[in-house]
Amino acid sequence: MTKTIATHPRAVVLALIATGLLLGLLAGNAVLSPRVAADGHISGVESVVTGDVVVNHQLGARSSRETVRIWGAGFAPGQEVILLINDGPGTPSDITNYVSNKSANNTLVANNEGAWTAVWTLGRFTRQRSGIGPGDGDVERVRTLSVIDPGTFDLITSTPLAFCRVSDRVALAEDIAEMESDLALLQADRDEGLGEKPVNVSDAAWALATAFYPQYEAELDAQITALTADIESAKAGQGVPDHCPA
Amino acid sequence: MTAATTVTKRSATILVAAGLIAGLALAIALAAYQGARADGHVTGTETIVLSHTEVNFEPGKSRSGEEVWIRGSGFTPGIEVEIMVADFQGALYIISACRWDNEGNCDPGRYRDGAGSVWPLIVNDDGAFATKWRLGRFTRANVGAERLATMWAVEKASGSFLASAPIALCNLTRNADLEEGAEPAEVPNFCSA
Repeated sequence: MTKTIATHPRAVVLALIATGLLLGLLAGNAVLSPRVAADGHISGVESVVTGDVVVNHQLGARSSRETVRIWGAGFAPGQEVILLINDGPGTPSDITNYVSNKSANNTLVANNEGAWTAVWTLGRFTRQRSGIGPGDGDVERVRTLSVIDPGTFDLITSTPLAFCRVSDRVALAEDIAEMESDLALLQADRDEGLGEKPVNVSDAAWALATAFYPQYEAELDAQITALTADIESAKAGQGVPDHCPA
Repeated sequence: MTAATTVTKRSATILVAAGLIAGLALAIALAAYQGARADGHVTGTETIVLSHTEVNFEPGKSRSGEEVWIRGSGFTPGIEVEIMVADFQGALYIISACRWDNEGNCDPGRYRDGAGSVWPLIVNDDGAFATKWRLGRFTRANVGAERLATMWAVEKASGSFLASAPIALCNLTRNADLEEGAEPAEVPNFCSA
């Protein structure tokens, strides 16, 4: 049997540890270092903003003309991106086809300063069965507008968009005001009652009016009840979600 | 029978593995240190927000009074930040700097020539800062240009790009005083007017 004796000189041991250390540093650096884009910009500093975070969502509009200005910056010059928003059920929906300034590839391309801009016209996005309408029917949602690399489908950056029925709510408030005005007129009629017999009305006509007045009064009461219910129902739909302006 | 060797295969493997683990630990520690230092491109938490993205830029104006607020958050407290925008040639121009007097001292009195309202721009204890950029002479020929650009927040010490925000320098008054029948000037696609 051969017996092996290892001497382990200090220099060799240090060299082996140093080799391992170097390999470890290289491996760690490769895994942990930030990625560097072709132009020298380091990814992770791209940004996107919108002209206004609140988007007026006119639910049911066949082709909404509402627009959202979107700006991007910090991209590598020439970088192509697409824009996604989750629809009602939460499926990412590519809206790049509906924005201005898009390229022939249906992408947005960063200029020499790493910036791009586009205007998104909501169009069909407000229809009941498209955009964020489907699903649970709640269209007043906060959604993420995602800027995506079309080559890798990696998320580059994002910004929130709050979809709010701003003009719908204004119209509803006008409807309620009109109904309340009608209700006030009905109530005034009801409160006034039949009153005293006018001098130019005959006794027979007044007797007839007096006989039928309770029926008319009941009709007024029914109208007041129905209108009050309508107003309450309309007001119930006036609730403003936390993410929307009052 | 006895054989002599400097290092056995087993002990060499153990030594290299020990070094490898130490190297990995060191790399992780260094990466964490960088992240804590300022490394937006690692943490990605730094952001800058402008009071308005579309800024009125009247080309050729000798001294513009236009101002835009720049606010940042998510930065490492205590670091000094510089804000940059491309000049007419596309080279990055420090817009957050002070205007200097002839002795090389910061002269706030020259703010109207164009400068940052706060200098030096040091991130506060909450990781935030706010400054105001007055365009001043940036509208002069061969200084700035009407363009859609990236505004950069850069760590002064390392030169690292930490955050960005879009800025559209637009001549919003180009068609303001059109004479009757005159053809309106073309509006770039990144401007609203």
